[in-house]
Amino acid sequence: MQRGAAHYPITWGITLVFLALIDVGVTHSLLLWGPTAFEDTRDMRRVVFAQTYQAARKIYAPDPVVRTPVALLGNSRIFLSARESFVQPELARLPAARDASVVNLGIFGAGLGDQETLVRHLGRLHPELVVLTMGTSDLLGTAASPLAGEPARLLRVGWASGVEPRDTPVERVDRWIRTLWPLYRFREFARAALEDRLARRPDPGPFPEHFASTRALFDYIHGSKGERVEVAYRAWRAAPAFAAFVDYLKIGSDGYLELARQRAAGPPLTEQSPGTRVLDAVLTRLAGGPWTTIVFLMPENPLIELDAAREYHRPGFSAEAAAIVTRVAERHQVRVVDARAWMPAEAFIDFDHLMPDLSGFQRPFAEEIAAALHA
Amino acid sequence: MREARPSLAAIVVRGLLYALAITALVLFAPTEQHVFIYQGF
Repeated sequence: MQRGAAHYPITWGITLVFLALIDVGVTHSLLLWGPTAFEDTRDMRRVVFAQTYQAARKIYAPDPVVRTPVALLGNSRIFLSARESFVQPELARLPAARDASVVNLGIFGAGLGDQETLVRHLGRLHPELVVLTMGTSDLLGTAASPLAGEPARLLRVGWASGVEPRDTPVERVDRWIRTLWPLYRFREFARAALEDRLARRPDPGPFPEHFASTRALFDYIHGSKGERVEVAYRAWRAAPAFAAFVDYLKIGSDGYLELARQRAAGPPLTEQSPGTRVLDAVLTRLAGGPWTTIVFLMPENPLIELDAAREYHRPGFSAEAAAIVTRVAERHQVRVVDARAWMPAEAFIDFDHLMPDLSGFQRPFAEEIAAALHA
Repeated sequence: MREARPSLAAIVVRGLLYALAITALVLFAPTEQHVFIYQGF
């Protein structure tokens, strides 16, 4: 009687060879990393997935023109304000940074726990400098901005646990398989890329390389509400009272105001807070890497000091949080650049986000990168 | 009596089919779904 091929070890050996070939064919090709429509989504339910995919691509399929990579880690604050198209021309003007290429790995809503996961992949990029950007409120985890969320879930790899206290045996084995097997690691992205290529959905287009005016910015962010937002913004500029700024935000950014309220009402911050421990975990990983690391405290809108009702901020919180960040960074011999007071109120879209391109933040930021590279 | 071993072609085809099946399983098996609506700006 003839036994089936499945009974022969050579069949499984050949299966492994084919799996390795398929793996390389997908994870080292345009099939996974080529341009997609889904990555440009404007749907806020998909935007974190899309930007996590873009960050993974910048690490695993880097642009061949990248020479001396400077990795920027952070969330929407840095995603918006330090786009490669804004920062690169500024770096080109600075002799100490002429060869540097910024790689913006910012992801909307990414918390410090998400950064801890992202750092696990950084070795592939071989950065010369890593800039961990954060706002002081990033030390607080809220429902709307968790310490670790979708990026950590999508990019989890490594032998050691992440910052999440929950780590079941199944999750551990799953993470180990993701570590060993790239196709398994990127299966959610590969599935989305395949669906994208088969369905040929319309592409809303990438994030603009430049913005000519606030109106162009508001049209991009708020779509049909852009004109109303612009009128309210102009009203605030003409009579710059705190209430007028909140009125402007209420038109297009109600969700953001709710996020600010959640943070203002959040738990007190101490050296033992979860956020502080997660920052320590991120810096432990970064300080162990073959690159220079700096922590960059992002600019904060000075207008928040006029929030007399304390609805959107906690007086003194920013200074307390900055002191904690500095102490944790000192433990790891990591330098902190405190840029909280760098920019005026008119450079901001809201209390946290700088206006992309229009704020001019890219100029002093590029100088700071040059200084760190030269140090 | 010695049993007849399948031909090399049969083994290769079977190996390829298994690899494709495992790949399809990895790519299309349901994964954890979270809907996180970003409201940061």
